[in-house]
Amino acid sequence: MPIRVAVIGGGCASISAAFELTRPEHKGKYEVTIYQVGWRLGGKGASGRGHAARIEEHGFHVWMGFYENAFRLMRECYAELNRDPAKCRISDWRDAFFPAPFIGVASRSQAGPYSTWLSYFTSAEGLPGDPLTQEYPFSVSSYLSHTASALRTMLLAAETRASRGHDGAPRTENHVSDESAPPSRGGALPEDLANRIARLLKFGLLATTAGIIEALELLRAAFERSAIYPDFLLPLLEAMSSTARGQIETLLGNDSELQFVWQAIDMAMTAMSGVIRFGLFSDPRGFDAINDYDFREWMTINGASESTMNSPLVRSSYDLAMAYEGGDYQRARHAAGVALRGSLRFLFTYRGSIVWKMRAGMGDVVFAPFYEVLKRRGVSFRFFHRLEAVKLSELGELSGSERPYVKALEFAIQAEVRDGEYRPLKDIDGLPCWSSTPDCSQLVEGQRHLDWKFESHWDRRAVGTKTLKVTDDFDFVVLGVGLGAIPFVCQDILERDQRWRDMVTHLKTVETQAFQLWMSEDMESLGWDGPPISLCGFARPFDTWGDMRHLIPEERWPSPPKSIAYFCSALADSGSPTESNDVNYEATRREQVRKNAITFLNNDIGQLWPRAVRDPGKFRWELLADANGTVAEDGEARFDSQFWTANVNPSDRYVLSLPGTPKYRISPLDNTYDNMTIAGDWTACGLDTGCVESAVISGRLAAHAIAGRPALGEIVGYDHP
Amino acid sequence: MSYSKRLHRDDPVRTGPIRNFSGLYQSNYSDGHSSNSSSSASSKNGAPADGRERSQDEGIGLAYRVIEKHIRDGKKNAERFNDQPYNARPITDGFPELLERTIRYQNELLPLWLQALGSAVRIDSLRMPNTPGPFTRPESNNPASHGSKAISLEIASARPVQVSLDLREHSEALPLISLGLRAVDENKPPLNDISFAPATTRGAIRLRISVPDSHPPGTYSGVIVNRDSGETLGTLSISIAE
Repeated sequence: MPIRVAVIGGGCASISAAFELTRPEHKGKYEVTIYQVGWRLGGKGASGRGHAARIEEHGFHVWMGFYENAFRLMRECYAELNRDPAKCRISDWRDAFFPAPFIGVASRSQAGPYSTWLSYFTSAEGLPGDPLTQEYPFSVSSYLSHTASALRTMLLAAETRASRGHDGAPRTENHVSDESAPPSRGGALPEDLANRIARLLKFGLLATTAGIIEALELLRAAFERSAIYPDFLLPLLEAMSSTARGQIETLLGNDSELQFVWQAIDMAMTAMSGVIRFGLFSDPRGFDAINDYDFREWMTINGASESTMNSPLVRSSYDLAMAYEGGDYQRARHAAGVALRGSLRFLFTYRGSIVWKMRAGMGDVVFAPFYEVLKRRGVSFRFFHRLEAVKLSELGELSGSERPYVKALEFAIQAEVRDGEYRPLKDIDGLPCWSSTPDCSQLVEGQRHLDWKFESHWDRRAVGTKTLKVTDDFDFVVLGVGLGAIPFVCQDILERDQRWRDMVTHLKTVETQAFQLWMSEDMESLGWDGPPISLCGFARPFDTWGDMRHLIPEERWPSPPKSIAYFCSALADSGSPTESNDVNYEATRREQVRKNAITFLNNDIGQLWPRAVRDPGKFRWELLADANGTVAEDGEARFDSQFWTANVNPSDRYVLSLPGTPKYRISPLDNTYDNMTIAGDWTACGLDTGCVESAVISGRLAAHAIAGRPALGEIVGYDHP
Repeated sequence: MSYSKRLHRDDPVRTGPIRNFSGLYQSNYSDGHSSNSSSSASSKNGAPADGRERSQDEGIGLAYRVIEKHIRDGKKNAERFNDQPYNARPITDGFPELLERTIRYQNELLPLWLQALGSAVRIDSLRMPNTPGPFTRPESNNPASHGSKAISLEIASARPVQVSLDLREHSEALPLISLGLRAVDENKPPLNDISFAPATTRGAIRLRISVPDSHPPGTYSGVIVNRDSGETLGTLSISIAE
């Protein structure tokens, strides 16, 4: 008789656990059922198709080139799916993902306008998910050699593009050629030869001087506590370092391009100094040893300059992790060890491209294939199941040394399905996709459900309840809901378990916001003549922009837009609702996001796209393409034709790694509860930061906790400093 | 997996990642100290330096040499193109080569500095107490963990390994043997090349573990017993990475 596993939730972690537990190697040992609220899988990565088959996401998603576990499973999924390329345009993982090597960082100069630092990351050997061909790459020597190589890239590929005036004319254009980078885009003004030579000279000096400074810094770090080094030399070394830093600051002047380069070098060098100074080479806690520090605090301790700590580079690292407590930009906090580990993995262990974008929605290219493969393997899907409570065994029911266990799972049934099984995918010209709305025609009394918000935590409507009992209905549980949902569904555990109470108390989450634009002019016409970019550090409250023009052919517009742009960021708290039935909360937050977006488009987007604004403070609303033609012809109301979201459901909240908090995470390997494991990017999964890779690792760990497979050594990068 | 009415999970081998990469990623790790150098480093009073101090001396010396070479080469190149001592004057030609050479020095030398220093320096965390994390982790083969104990480890392995040793107090003086380490997966061969040997100094004993290159990755565990009495005195576990 197979072992029955109930998987709660359909995000990356849950799907990964199900994928592992149903591998053919297990020979059907595990019978998996996935219970999913609403009509679609994906969790924070869910997407759907709306009007004109336009793609509507929770936010701006990319996959980093270091997502080894995520890519490995994804590739195996596509291989097993074996789609016919003649019938399906996304039949292979390489159809689904493509390299996106351009990364930008925006910075507001002292004079006011934003500049963008555009970096082209050369491709790295191999592809993510390939078998590891070298020795374990997560070593200090590997990181250091990659650091040096990356410094070279930064020096050569750094490019500052001063923001344009409203006439669209470039004010300055600086370029350092790199044979490995693609040709420079046109439009640069001819530069004065002497200025160019002087600039290049400064690059050379910068590199050399930075190296000397760092040598001294390293020595100081090394000898600070060593008795074998004469004490009197330390002040001398510090004085030399200070002098040299001063020389560099003088050299830089107001040259924003060199400022970027210096800050990048300063960051890399400082991080390496810190690794030595803090003895992270040998600390059994690895980088966790510095998790009580905020990343900027730790970098400052290790000698990073003030300008670097206030630089857009550092700010961007916080943007990427949405590391703002309560969504408040004044409370930027990120555990130093987590940040350092993530940065090293991101920058130095990627394969192929540093960033990969998806050819369609994340639901379409990730969760639809997994759904199809899991279905083939015999996995059952129970949509419209909202978990209400995880019920534990009573203490008196336990015998001897028996560990507590999950006795029952209580669900609210949101809708009954006519044929017993909901078929969630719809065909978009041969590609199975998720829909942005449920197909109520498949539901019993479907008309009744048309206005139900199945994914909303605050819409508690249901047509029935269901209780699953251990041994009768399941043997093991993979709890794959988001951290924000734990207080609502795990009351039994929280009442008894101090560790779980600490976890939900100390691990903080934040709401997020996102909006998408479809426009009738291409990016060049709007004044952005750069490549398709992923950019962060821009004007708040939407600090991150993704140029998604590649999605145009994937959608089905009668008159296709010429450009697509995604924006996202953390959403500032306004006081979370205390009542579970506060049905207006979500709408209130959505309205806040709408206002934020309109203000942002009027006041800030002109810094990036100078020709998208008519006058300062006036976005050209007529640019917005309307998929269904139901809104006003012009004016701010036209924004209503676009897509925006406030990700405020407890399970959708993004999990932060604030200083001092990662230690409160609980591992999927923890066996406090005999028949339950947990899965999600909020668990202690090694990376300990919110991302797809964390979730996939966590799901694999959860599968290991139940089945002993995959071996921990097969989970790439789990063992890592 | 045991089958009663309700199924139970097996106890996990561990509940957290291995973070200690000085032990994890160094092959032929021995007690945390370099012992195969031909350097004649000695302590300040002329007496032979112990392993740790000698390692520091070697690392510092190497760091010095590398840095000096870097500075010397950098200045030489700068002077070559400037035709005068290294400064910030504009250069009118030869820039690309200067830049390339400078960057190459960075590429080649930077890792060396840090590797040298990394092997030489061990500085305690400045602020955080050395409290255990959220997981109960076995003692690793971190030199800081074993430096003051009367047991040293010698591991011959081409791959990263982590060793967990739990030995009853005052067992060092007893004749210890391992009966072999086994994996949960019965298909994996046992790890048998394990021996305890008297140490050469201070009465410490030395635990030697040899991991054949072809041995499957995984976690292997077993007991340590008193050779004479057969009494179990501790446990030994080794995790072999891919």
